[in-house]
Amino acid sequence: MIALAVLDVALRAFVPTLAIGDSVPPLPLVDQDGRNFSLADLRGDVVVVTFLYTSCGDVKECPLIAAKFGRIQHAIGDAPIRLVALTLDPQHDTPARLRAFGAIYGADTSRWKLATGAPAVVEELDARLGVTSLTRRSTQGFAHDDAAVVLDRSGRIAKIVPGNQWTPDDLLAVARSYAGAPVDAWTGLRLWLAGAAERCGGGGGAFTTAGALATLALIFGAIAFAFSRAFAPRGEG
Amino acid sequence: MRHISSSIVVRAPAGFALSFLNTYLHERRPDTTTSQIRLEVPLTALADSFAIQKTVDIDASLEKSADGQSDVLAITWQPHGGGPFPSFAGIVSGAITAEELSTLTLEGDYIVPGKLAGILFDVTVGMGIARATLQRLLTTFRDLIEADYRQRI
Repeated sequence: MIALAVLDVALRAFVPTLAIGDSVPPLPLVDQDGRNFSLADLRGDVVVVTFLYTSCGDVKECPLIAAKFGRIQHAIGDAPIRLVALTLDPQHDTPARLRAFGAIYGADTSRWKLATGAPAVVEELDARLGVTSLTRRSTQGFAHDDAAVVLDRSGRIAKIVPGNQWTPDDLLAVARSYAGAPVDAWTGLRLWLAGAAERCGGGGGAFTTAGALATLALIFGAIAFAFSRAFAPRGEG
Repeated sequence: MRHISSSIVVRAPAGFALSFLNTYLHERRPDTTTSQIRLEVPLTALADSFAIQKTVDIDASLEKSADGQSDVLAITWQPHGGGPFPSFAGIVSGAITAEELSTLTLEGDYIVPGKLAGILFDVTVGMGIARATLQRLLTTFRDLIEADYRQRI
């Protein structure tokens, strides 16, 4: 495992990872219907990109991501938001396999594309978006990073949500905020707090209700303390 | 050998359901070979609401369907410790029927133990018992899948 981690670091050195504000390069991909496209073609819409492979059999990994995307696509409504699931296994994930995979998750391909392409191109794009697969294990598939990357309407990286613990509601709210679509007040507050925590050096990836409540309690506690100090009766001197 | 199938509606995407079963059955392995589950075998031919429990060694793995594209869960079981109980080999397949609603189908072949007596038993009451057993197993699977889906999504 250590050797794999070292190898991963070494490989990453050759592929610069994109950061917030960077444009995603127009690398050629192929969708589930065999049509050529690139992420740059989707400019004008907010695009949420995530990563999976179709032979992943662990319900806690790719199937969970696909199920969450399925939930999101039904809640998008009229907002200009597109979903892209980019394969981590371009060698085996042909358009036909991606189409079949999408079908068992109810993918509406007008909203949700499943993408593959030339292995070197797909692996480069995965890596540039900060996600690499470390190895192909014999029985359990790939070990790989997880993330959801939100591209704004001009095709720039607006947000990177690490891991796969994000909820469909919260990821959709992030996408809606960049799409200029309304976000409900509570979700907006939680996202703002998560963003503030992230800017202060904390983890902002998981927008938990408990975390938001704890942060709110801390803020109100600090304000109450400041008021109590400011208006406390002063001793006569 | 007799062919049998049974279906059930599940409130989860079919892909999630199949992956859940794959993970669930692998994580129940007491060692590195097979899992064990308890099948409830309804014996309504003998008495209403009468059922026995039978432990089976079960093996499951995600495989490609006959067209090589979609996933199915290949599933086999044999009676744990032997005994006069059918073994089974088949697949669980799934299809989305509506938003976050799927149909899971368990189908395959079971082998009746005990030569002529077994065959006679099967054509009289055994087939009905086998169908009911499959339906109860699918009901158990559905409850597990839906609980996990509600928790994770």
